[in-house]
Amino acid sequence: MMGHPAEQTLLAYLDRELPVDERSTVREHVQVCAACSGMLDELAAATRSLADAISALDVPAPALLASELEGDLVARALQELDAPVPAATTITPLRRRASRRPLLAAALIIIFVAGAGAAIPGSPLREWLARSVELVTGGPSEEPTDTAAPSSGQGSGSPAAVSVQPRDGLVRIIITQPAPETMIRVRLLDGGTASVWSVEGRYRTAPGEIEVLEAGPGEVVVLLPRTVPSAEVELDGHLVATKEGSDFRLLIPAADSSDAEVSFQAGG
Amino acid sequence: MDFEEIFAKLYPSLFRYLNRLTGDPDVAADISQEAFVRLLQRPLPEADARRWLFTVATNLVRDWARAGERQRRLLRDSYRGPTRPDRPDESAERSLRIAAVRAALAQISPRDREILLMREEGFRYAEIAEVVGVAPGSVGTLLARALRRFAAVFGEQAAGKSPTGTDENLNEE
Repeated sequence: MMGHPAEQTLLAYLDRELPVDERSTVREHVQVCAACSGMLDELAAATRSLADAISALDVPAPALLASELEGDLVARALQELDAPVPAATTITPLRRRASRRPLLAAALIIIFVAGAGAAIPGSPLREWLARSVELVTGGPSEEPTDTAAPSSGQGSGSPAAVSVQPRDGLVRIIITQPAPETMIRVRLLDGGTASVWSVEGRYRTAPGEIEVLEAGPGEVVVLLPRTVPSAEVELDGHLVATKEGSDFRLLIPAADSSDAEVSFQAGG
Repeated sequence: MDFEEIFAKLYPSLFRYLNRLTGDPDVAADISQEAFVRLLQRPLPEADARRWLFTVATNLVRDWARAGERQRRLLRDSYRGPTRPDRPDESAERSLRIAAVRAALAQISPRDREILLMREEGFRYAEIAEVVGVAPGSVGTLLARALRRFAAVFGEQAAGKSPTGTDENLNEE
């Protein structure tokens, strides 16, 4: 017969933390030892008392927190515009539930673009962006061209999917089956986070990989850090933009461009 | 499981834990949000996400508590006696009970609070050890002792005695 188990052993027994053999031993002992049985009852009562007591503190969790995550990330992306370039590049989804709040989504995008423009006047990034965009569009002041992107093979209104797959320093942004109304904006940042922000859709994440599914009509914003050594943007299997080192090239006419970003329509 | 599912599954538990730990729903919401934003930037499988979230959140609470007097003041002031309900819509009895629980939690050490509240959220001993930063073999001992301490001070609070030693125990160990 074993000696009296320690109090922590009895608690671990109560919490089902003991190995099977030790659990059996404690159970047999408690059945024949009034002192240990009493201590086990006390621990059980204390556990119930604690649970009951602290549940009095509980209040409903704020319901809007999930949506606030998106705005928080956007704000951080803006802050990164003026932040030092970090050593490592990560991939981050900027997610939102805009399907239920389309007006708010548009407003956030506008604020984001305006904020980004205001954040970088005169910076080396601005010059770099202007030069890069000029290379492929004929200049930032060029009039918007007609439909820019390869047409969708899936027809109008089909859901779009966006995925970002970092691989050996390469950021590959793939947009498949976009709705013709989808406007894709590629912004080049001086930060260390490559991000995709889709007005609609849901994200599937895995280590080093983000996939956005069922992105419908609206805007897909790609934030591409200058520190990414190599990046490609594909639209329905067509390469539409590349970045190698500091050289960013848009391989199709842009629908619009500015010092801070280029954009093109998904189909049309 | 994607982020949205992980959020839906873990957010209530994380918020509850933080609200109990800090005594302040606003702080609990802020820290929950911060932890999930960080998780958003570092996608993890669900099994790892829960432990990672609670680790980040617990560290944020420690930073918050270390940063100033706010938590001490909040927890101390929360004990107002039976004649001053916290909110008008709460009964005096319920208000008294809440005050007693907060005061009791404030009288045990931060680590005791963390491990007791994590146990309440269903964490295994090994997970508690990892989040709180103690040896796995010591969790049972620490839990038993924390449970006993809480029972003792809560018993005193429930009996209507004034809280004592509130301030010093809110500091990090």
